[in-house]
Amino acid sequence: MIVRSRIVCSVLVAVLLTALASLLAMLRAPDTRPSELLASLAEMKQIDALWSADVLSLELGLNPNYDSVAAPVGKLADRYRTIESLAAGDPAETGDLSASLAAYRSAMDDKIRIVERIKAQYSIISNSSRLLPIAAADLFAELEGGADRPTSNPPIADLLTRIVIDVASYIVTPGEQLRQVIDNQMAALREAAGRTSPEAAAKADTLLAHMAVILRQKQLGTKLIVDLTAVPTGQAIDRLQRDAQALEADQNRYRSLLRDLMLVCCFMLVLATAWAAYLLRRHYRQLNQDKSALQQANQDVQSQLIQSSKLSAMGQMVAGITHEINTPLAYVKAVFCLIRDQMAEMQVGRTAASGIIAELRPAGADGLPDDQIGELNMLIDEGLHGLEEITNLIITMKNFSRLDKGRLEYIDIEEALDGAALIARSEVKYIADTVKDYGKIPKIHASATQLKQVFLNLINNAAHAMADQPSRGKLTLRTRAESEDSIRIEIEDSGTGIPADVLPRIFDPFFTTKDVGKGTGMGLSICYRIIQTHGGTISAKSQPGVGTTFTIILPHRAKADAEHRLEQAAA
Amino acid sequence: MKHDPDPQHCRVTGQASAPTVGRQLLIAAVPALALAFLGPALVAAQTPEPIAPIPFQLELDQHKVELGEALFHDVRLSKDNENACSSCHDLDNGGDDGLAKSKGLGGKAGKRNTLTIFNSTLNFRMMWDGRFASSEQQVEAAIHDPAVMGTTWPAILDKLAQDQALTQAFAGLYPQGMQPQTITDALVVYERSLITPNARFDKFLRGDKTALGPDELEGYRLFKTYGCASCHQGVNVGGNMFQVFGVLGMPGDYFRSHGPVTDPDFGLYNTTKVEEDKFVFRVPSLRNVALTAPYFNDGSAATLTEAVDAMAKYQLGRQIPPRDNALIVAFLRTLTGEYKGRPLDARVSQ
Repeated sequence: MIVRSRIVCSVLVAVLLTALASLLAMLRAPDTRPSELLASLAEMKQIDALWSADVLSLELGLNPNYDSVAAPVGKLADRYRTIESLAAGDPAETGDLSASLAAYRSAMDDKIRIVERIKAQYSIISNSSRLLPIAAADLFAELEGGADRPTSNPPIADLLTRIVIDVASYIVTPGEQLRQVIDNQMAALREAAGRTSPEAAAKADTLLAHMAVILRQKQLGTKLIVDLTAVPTGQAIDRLQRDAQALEADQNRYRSLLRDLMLVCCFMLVLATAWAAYLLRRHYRQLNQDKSALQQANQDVQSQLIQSSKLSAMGQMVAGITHEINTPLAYVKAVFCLIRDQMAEMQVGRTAASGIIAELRPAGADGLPDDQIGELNMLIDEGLHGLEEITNLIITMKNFSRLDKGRLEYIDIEEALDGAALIARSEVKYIADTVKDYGKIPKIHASATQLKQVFLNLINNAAHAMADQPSRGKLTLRTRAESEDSIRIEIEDSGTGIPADVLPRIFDPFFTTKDVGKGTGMGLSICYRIIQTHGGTISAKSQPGVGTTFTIILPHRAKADAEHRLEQAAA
Repeated sequence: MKHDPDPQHCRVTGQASAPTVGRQLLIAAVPALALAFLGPALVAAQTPEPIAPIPFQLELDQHKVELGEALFHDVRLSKDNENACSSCHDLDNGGDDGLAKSKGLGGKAGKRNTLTIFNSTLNFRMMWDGRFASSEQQVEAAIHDPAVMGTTWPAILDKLAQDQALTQAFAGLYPQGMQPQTITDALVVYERSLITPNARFDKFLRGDKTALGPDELEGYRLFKTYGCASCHQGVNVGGNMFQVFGVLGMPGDYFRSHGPVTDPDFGLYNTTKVEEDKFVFRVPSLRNVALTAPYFNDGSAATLTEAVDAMAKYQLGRQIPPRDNALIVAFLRTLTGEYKGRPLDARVSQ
């Protein structure tokens, strides 16, 4: 779980860092195209507006030549190429601009065409207008020169004057009505001049041709100017500007989204780092715990090892000693029995023949007096008693080393505890109350006699510990299921407790705090050995003045090697 | 307004001398006309001359100019190495070939008169009919035109790539090295350098009153008053507008007077296919016009005198007396400029 969290955390941090880096790269490479587009469009708009003004000022004759009207086309084409290449940068965005660009192109093509025609039209009309007075003067001179028809001239001269004035008027205020009038006058002039002379007719034709050109070009010029003002280049540029502004707005939105994302990323990165720190801390704490647990286990194992090697050495030594002692002990005991038997025979014989003996032997001189015999008998009994004590000790030691009587069966631990408590009842009943706190544990596979021995030993010890207490003590027998395949037995007293410096040594063989002669110091060692061979553990927890708790943990079933060990020990 | 500075008007009023009625009428009529139309033109008369001088030099990358010059003379730009740009644009001969129509390529005859390369980049559009908006387009079209260069870019690049020096020159000047675009660019930059400043007329425009003789000055005055300057104006004395050939009468009358009308005579119509663009041409530049005979897109006018007469008849709708024609031609000769510090006509005389 922790490992998975750590992997997830590292991956998260890596992903966030990558995301942050790419976001930063995207932010640091800003797309300048919308702003460049807008700048180019602004220039374009200005050029276009100035151009329109220049074209209109053509009609006022303010331009010395057409260079200023021709040049904007090239500049506009340059800007258009710039804009087109900027728009071509991103296929997604070109879709937006291409329609507007097409609209602009079409409008601009129209405008260029109209402006070209205005230029041509203006130069034609200006030429013809410039020629008009000259042609009129030529015609007039021709008419004046014909001295043979002086009377016929005034109406023509009059007509000529009127028509020139009317054309001049038409140039300023072109109107359909005036056009009709001029057309009529032109027809009249052509007719009149034709009647006057062929020379006059030729000159009138030139004049009328230029007048026709003026009328035609003026009409065309008016139409062209109207067309020019109707060409929506301004709107087309406005539309492009709107598109570019939309692009810019999109970009700004995109950039602020990037910024927001980056902030979120940063925040998440901080969180992930904190999590990583937490995981690391937990990991270290776990390691420390594991370390101390391992150290503890190591210490336990070491002390157990020392304990069992001690016990093993003891067992071998005891086996040797008991064997060596048993033989002399047996015959010393036999000798003592023999002496006692012979002493008894001697006493019977003397009692039966006391009169004879008393008479045969002087009193106090031969034979022993009765009180001496009695004393001897008493000494022999004492000796036998001592020998009995030695025998018991030897048997105890043999039991320790051999642990025989080990027969494994399914036993009820609680029954075994009850049995032990019953046996010890005489010891306990005046000292303490016995509390049975059984957890209804299942039967386990173990040696009943050996376990009863352990329980009895522990209960007796508890009784001894509580014997000197001023108040009545409390003995608690507790059973619990430790795990699914082991049980726990606790024997708790409220006795004097075991001092801390003594506690580690209580399972050592021959270690005892009791007065000399009151204990062998082998009890807890034997308990330890029995529990160990069952594959269990025994431990003591004590608080001086409060009490001691012995805890035994036993497996449900002694393991095969435990059985083997038990059998081996029994052999 | 009554002190009309235009001498033409003085002559008009001066001629109207005899009958009191007609004279009074004309005195009334002519200023009215002048007011109506020439009023703006009078304002214009106070503004600078309709023609502007060519700048002495342009800011150009001299290395590119040199590279372009080499390419300009390089026959590898054409099919079978037959033509270079300079084959038709002879810089020692007014920048054109002096033929009525270009000689063409591989037996295919050219369709039009060769225009001078000098000052061509000062024109607002390229070719007689103004069909190209830029020199780049013109170069592109010339390369592929079967009657001009008749080749393709891959073929040119194949040939030029074997030229180590040229390849290195391109690599040094252009990041992308030798490409159709960079070859075109070098050629166009060189074309831009082919300007002919400091014509005698330009000296006059810049204030040198002694640059022109009295006849030439009179020719310039007539050039303006006859209306030639209505179209032939600006820095290139033309080259900045379209005009129909045949203002008076029917458009195209000039061509019809010479024989059957051919496709190139339709001018801008060939590109736009718009009826009103028939016989519409780019007004050609008159810079160095004395050196570029014969004239018009079909080379049908052999001399300047013929060309001026044709223009007067078909564009201005009037006859110009031979004396005025000669004066105008005298003025036109002052438009011959200098290239690399030497007058173009001096080169011809060598």
